[in-house]
Amino acid sequence: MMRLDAARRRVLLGCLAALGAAASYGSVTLVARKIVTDYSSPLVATAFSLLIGTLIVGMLFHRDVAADAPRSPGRAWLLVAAAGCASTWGVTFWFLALDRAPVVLVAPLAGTHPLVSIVLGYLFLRRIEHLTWRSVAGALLVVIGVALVAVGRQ
Amino acid sequence: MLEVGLGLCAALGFGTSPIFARLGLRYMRPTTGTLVSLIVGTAITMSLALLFHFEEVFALSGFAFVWFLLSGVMNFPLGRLLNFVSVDMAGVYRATPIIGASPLFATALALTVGGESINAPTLLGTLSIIAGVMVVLSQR
Repeated sequence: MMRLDAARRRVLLGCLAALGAAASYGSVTLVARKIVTDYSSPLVATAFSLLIGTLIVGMLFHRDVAADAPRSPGRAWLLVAAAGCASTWGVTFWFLALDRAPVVLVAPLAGTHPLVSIVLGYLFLRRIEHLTWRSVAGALLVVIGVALVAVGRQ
Repeated sequence: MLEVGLGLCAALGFGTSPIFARLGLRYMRPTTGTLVSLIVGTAITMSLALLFHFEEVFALSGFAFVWFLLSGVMNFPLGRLLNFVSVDMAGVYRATPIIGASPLFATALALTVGGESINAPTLLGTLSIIAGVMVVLSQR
């Protein structure tokens, strides 16, 4: 019973963290708009934002890296590095698409990423996570909502 | 057609990242995973910036770095770290639809701070996003 409660609490905290991430990503679009309008190209802005973010995270958590180094297999380092590559891939193509098409087209297309995660998760995370119809329905509603918001804000 | 392909490539990148993160974070802390992913991302993006915008990189104003600092803090110690923590604690299937709801917050700011007005598609989209997040959160 206690173990179940701890598991539920962990999931709840994870969901709150996801909401926090969504709030951060959503809020930073205003800052990003100001930067690319007044100061620099999107690629340069992303590069320096990443550099500053890396330095801050490094200063705060370098001890965690030192602690994880002896006990984490090489495969784990490659996987999180691949996660970084994939994010960079996403940002780069996001800007390339925005360079050629309006937000109203690009945002709904890029906004399908939760569905991509669900499909890939179904293929590669079967032993780790259990897919439910609520996750699929929730992701579909979010993707439809993002498309409608993009159309409305055009 | 090319634009559609580029937009879908962006979705592929954003959608693949949490899968790799989920697999890697079984063996290390989210803070470590976040830092490694940021180092890799910085190396790639800075190389591309120097390759394609060499002169611009060395002609940036001091004010630009104040904005980069704000963007860097909001995107990475906050956004990326919370993203990895959520994938690790709640799983990909719960975390990614919630994180995908970020336009909801952008719209809320645009309406309150930016002075934009709301119309029918924006209202419907906002309600749809909220409903999607509620459906994801409602699972036991």
